[in-house]
Amino acid sequence: MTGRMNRLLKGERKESLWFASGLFILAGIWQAMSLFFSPLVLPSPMETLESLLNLLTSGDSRRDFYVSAYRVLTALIAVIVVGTGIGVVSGFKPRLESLLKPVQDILIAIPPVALIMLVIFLFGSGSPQTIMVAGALVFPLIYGNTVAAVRTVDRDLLEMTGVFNVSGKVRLRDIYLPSVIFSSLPNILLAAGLMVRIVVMAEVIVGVTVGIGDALIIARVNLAAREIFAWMLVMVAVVLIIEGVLLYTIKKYLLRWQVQG
Amino acid sequence: MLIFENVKKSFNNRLIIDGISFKIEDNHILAILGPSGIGKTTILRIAAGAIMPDAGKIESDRQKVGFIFQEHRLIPWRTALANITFVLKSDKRLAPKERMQIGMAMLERLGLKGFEHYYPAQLSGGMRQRVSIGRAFAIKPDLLLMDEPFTGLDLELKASLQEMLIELLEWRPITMIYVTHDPRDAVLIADETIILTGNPGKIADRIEFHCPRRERDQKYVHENTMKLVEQLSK
Repeated sequence: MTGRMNRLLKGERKESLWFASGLFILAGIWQAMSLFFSPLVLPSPMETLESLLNLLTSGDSRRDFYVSAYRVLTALIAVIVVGTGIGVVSGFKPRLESLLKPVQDILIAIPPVALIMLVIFLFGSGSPQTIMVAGALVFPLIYGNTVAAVRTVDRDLLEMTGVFNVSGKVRLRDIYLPSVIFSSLPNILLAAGLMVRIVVMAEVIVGVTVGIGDALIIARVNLAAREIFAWMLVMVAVVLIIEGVLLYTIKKYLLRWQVQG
Repeated sequence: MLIFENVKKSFNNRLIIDGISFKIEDNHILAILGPSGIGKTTILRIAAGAIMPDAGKIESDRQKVGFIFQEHRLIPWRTALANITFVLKSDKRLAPKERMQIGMAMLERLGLKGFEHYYPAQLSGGMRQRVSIGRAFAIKPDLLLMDEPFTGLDLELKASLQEMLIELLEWRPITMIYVTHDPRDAVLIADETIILTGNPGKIADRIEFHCPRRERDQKYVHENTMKLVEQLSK
């Protein structure tokens, strides 16, 4: 088993090297392009890093960051719990799935901006509205995957539980839920990244008074492109950290049963 | 005791088994022998209660049924120990600690002590099949159904698993139906064999092995295997 883990880690090291090379090339292109534009439009990487340091040391910026992070996590946890819960029930009850299909289709089809406008008209602006919009936009992803996962649970395992007379409760807890969770993991990762983008976009449009979205509005008003770029770096870093932490947790704890001996 | 009386079963309007009748006495092992697709597994699934026959009668006083599948069918995200204790969860009289004790004792008997926290992916094919056999014995079944559990294994591994199975049957005698397409397996393990032939599957012959299992030497196994082969090729 150790040998295989080492091979896996070696593979990850190689991937990290290519990732770092990609970042380096991108920074080079950015630096080259910044030579042709005014710093008011396209600041250089160094100028952006300076702004980033200022953001990191500013109490207001830290507060913006924490508030946005809180919204992202709240919406993500809520959508995972609600989307998985309703998805499991819909997986067993096709009628409920049909009943919810229009809602699912509408949430997939309408542009996020239109939904944000609708929420503002109906419920006004604020933090709960931002969380509601972000959750609603990611809901179809988690819900749809859960329904599909329930329907594709290994038939052989289910037959085994039937033959051994395993109760429905144990079957749900030990077969259905783990199957759903394991097949949902890639989508949860995707949802986490998507959630950061949607929350910040919703913050900008809803017009909250604290958060990264609010900081971006202020930067735009002040024509501070450096700050906008710095916040973009923060968001990229947040997505990478969320994905990294989630991936590590998934590999280390949730999917350790997949590592062959 | 388990009695099948004139049992018939069709799938998609195609008759698979036609008028199957047999009786298994307590703690006896019946092997069902026949080529692939003849309805052997259908008989097992009917005996397990997984499907209902279209016609005929089944008499059984069986409460607990154990099943050893051709593939191990272990839960991939549960350890070897958890896979065994999983099937014990339905028995509400057993406390979690007792389930663990039964599971550990079973793994020890299977020669898998030290592997209790290994996941199926970390075990060899033979080890997985051992856990699957242990899972079936752990519930102390009244009826054990085996669906070609040694298919696809190399000869050495197959021999060691068969030996382990015979030891388990000596330790805990069980009424058993053993489906196989290998006549030698039937001679090694069963007390009686029925041979299915035709399309739909019907019982062509019934052969009993009176010699105790441990006293079946190579000559006995060979002679009876040839007898079964002869019947199969008729």
